[in-house]
Amino acid sequence: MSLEIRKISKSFGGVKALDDVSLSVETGEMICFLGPSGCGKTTLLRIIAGLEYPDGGSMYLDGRDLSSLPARKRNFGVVFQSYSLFPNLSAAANVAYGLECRRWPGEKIRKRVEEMLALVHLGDHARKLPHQLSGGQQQRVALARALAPEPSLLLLDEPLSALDAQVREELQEEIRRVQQHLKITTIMVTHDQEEALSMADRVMVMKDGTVMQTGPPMDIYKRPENSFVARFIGKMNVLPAQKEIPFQSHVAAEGSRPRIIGIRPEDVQIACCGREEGTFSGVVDQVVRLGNLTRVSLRVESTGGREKDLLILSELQGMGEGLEVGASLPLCIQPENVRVLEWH
Amino acid sequence: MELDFTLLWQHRMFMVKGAVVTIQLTFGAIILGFILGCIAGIGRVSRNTLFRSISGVYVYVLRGTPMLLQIFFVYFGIPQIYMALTGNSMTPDPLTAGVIALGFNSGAYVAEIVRSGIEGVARGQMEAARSLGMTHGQAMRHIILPQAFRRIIPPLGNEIIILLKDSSLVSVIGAGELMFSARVMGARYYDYVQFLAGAALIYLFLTFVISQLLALLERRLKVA
Repeated sequence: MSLEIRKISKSFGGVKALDDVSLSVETGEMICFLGPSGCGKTTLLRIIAGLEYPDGGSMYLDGRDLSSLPARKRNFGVVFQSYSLFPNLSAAANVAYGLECRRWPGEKIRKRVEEMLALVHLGDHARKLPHQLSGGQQQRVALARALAPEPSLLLLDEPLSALDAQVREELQEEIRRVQQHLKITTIMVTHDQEEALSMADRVMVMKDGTVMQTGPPMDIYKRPENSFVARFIGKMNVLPAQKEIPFQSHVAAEGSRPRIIGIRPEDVQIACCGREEGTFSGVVDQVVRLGNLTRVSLRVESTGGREKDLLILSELQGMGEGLEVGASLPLCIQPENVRVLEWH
Repeated sequence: MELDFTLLWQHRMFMVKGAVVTIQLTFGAIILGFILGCIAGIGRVSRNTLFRSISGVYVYVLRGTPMLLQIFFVYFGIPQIYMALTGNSMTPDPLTAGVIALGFNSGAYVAEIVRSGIEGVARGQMEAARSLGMTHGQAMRHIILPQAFRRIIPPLGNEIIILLKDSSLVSVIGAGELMFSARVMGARYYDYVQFLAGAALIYLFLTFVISQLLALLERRLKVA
């Protein structure tokens, strides 16, 4: 099922939580809403789920208007951050609940519950109560419960943020596997950029109730359109544009000259470019070794005038042998790796 | 002065009869109070404005006026209103009047207990239920109330014990409950100590039994 969101807005007591947000989600696609807390991503998900009503805008599921449809009639599967399993019901009864609401025949319910619990590898835990299951298992039950009634859309509201790192990684793969297996259109809210980049087909980055950028994960990483996205997704050197740093504009210029530029640390090479353009001399300020990766901060002295010294972060593969604080090194920035984030 | 409990022993059956009336009063009032309290408590969180405001007014009035006034109102006030409306007289039975007054009063407190029990169930439960396809009412019945019920047992037990003791107020309209019996006997022999002490012992015994039963119920519900 495809979902079309048009100009959704929502305020809470005068504070704009969502401001004219539009988006279309393709059938079978998994999209992540990504942003810092308070950016409106959860509010948008709750509006899609029908748990909150928008002040303006409209939504269409396969062309059908959703505005007047209450949550219970939307047939969307929702997984909440806090699991929200029914504590007085066993895992199997939790999964069966949505089916009983839809008056499925008993035998069909039993089969479906079995199938769903097997899908999330919990076949042996059917009779357990939620408090007898670990956090990860509870969230698996919640996923099975949401998927059991064959929903047209799966909505995940920070499903993994209450879990510890290892379980989270496991479940990330699991959710993605199940999602692709069922080919179900899915929207997930997260504040974890790694999670969004590794799981989603497309990511929508939000800030203060507005969409900053939407696109495939690697697109967002490679081609951030503004300094917020640049800073939020991965690490990026966000610098005032200077004459010395060459750039190739990827998009049409949106102003007379660039104001802020961005360079990924892995694109700052500690070497000579072999030509003068794009080669700088920097003094090593700090070296952080992470085993397979070494982060080096380099201070590039200003060429005079009102410009300040630049602190540029570089990331090298390996342990960075021979790098010492205070050493003066050449560094090279290729013009095609420089993004213009803001224009004058 | 010498303390002597022979008179109390001699009139023990009179005191026990008083205690039975106290139990009847308490039992009747808690049933009435529980029914009213559940209705008004659900009303307090209802989405229906009329239901919500009626419940709010009920709780406000019954909690905001003295219980003694309410007892007098039921016993003396209602017959007067009845007479003014129908022209017929009506003599209420003190026990019935007591159950009604105590029940309505207690209902207001139970309503608040029920309300906080419902509100104490995580909001996500209602949302999960609704997104699974349940109506608000179904979610309330199948998901919210069963969970709220467990939470209200301890404060409800407290309310039963308060009600047991408050039932002594009904002695002012002549219901022959335990406090009334103690007072009558005390006045008859002008020896209050032994009858008041006797009544106190019976009250303590009753509250002990109630709290043990409630502890048992709580343990049962925890296992389930």
